[in-house]
Amino acid sequence: MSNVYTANVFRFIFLILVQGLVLKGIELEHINIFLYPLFIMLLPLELAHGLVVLAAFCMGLSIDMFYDSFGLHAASLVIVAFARPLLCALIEPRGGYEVGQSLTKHSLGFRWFIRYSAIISFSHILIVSSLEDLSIGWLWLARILIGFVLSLFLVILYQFIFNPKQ
Amino acid sequence: MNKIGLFLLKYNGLFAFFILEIFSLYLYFSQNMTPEKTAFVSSANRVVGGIYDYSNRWSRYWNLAAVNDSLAKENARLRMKLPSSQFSHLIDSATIKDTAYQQQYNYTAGVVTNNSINRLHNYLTINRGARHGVRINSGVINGSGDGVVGVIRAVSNNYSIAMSVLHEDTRISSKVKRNGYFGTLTWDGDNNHHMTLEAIPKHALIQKGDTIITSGFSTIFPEGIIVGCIDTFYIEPGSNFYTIDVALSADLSKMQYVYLVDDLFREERKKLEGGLLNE
Repeated sequence: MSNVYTANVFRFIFLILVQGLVLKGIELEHINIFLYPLFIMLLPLELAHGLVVLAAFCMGLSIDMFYDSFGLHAASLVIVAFARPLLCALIEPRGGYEVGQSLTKHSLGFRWFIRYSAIISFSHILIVSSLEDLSIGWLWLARILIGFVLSLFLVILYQFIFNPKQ
Repeated sequence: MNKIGLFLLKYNGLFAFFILEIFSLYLYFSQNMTPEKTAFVSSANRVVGGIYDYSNRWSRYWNLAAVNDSLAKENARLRMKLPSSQFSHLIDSATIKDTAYQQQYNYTAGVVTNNSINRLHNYLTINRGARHGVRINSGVINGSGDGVVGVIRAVSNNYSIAMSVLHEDTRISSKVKRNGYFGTLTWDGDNNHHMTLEAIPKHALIQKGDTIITSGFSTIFPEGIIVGCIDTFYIEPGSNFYTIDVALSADLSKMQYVYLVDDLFREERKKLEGGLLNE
C-alpha cells in the first residue's frame, strides 16, 4: 500500500515540474495545455473523498504559484476532484470496479482510459477557461477545444511512456 | 458530539469541497484588491521563485548574443552623454553647481525570472524585492531603455511581481511626443505587440509612425519613456476622440533585463493630490 503513496508523491512533483517549466513555456495564443489533472485521475479509487479533494487543492495551488494565477487552478481542480466519483460511476465497466483496482490503462484497458481521461480533461479545461474569460464566445470555444485535444494527447502519451500500474 | 463527528466523517468530501472551493475562488477574485496578501500563492514565493531562477540561469545563455547587442547599444548612448563627448558652451563650468536638482527617480536593474504574454492577465516575476528597495507601484521598463513593461503589484523579500502592460486592467497615461496631446493606453487582450491609446481629441494632428511616450502625469513612470509608435488610427462614428492602435517598441516575449523605476516623491504627491480630491 505504501508503494501506492510513493508513486503518487513522485507523480505529484513530476507533474508540477513538467507543467510549470515545460508546458507553461509553450506560448500559443491563449491556449492552455494541461497535463497535471492526470494526478487526480490516477489517485486510488478507494482513497477518502475528502483526501482526494484536499490533494487536488494542493496540486492546484502549486500550479497557481507557477502560473501566477491566484487560485484559478486550485478552484478548477477541486471541482473536478469533487465530481470524480460521479464521473467514474458514469463510465463504470460491466461488473463494476474491483476492490483495490487502480484507474489506469494497464488495469482497465485503453478504451476505458480514453473515455475516463477525456471526461476529466474536458471538464477541467472547461472550468479553467470559463473562470479565466468570465464570458462565452467563439474564442472561448476555440481555446477549450484546441487545448482539450492537445491536453488529452499528452495524458494518453504519458500512459504509453510510463504505463503506470498504480 | 459523536454524532457531529460521524456526520463530518460521512460527508468529508462535501465539506472539504466547500471549504477549499470557497477559499480558492476568494483568492482568485480578490487578487486585484489585495495583491500583497495573495503574493504567497505566486511565483514571488521562495520555492517557486528559486526554481524559476535556476531554470532561467540555463535558458538565459541562449539569448546572450542579443542581450550583448542591446547592452552595447545602451553603453554607446550613455557614452554620448558623458561630458567628455560633448562640446561645452560654458565659459566657466566650475561656476555651475547642481544644488537645484534633487534625485527624483531611483533605477534598479533586475532580471525577469518568469514571464507570460499569452493570457488575459499577464504577470512578470523579477528577481529584485524589498531587500533591494523595490516598492509597490514602481514602474518596470525594458532593459534597453525603450518600452514600458509593467507596474509592480506585489513585493516579497527577494522577488517582486509586476502586472505586465499586457493586462486588462492596465491604464498608462501617455502622450504623442510631437505635439503633447495625452491619453490613456489600454490593452484589449488580443495582440501582444499592440495596445490601444484612447482619449486623444480629434482636432489633434497625428499620423502613422508618431512616437508615443509616457506623460509623467502618473506617479509610476517618469516622463518621456518611449512606449511605441502609432500604427493605425480612426474615429468612431459620433465620438470626439481617436482610437489609436500603438505598436509597442518593447518585445515583451523575449525580455530578460529590466529597470525598476521608483518615484521617490510619490507619497508626497499622492498625499497632496488625494487631500484635494477628498474635500
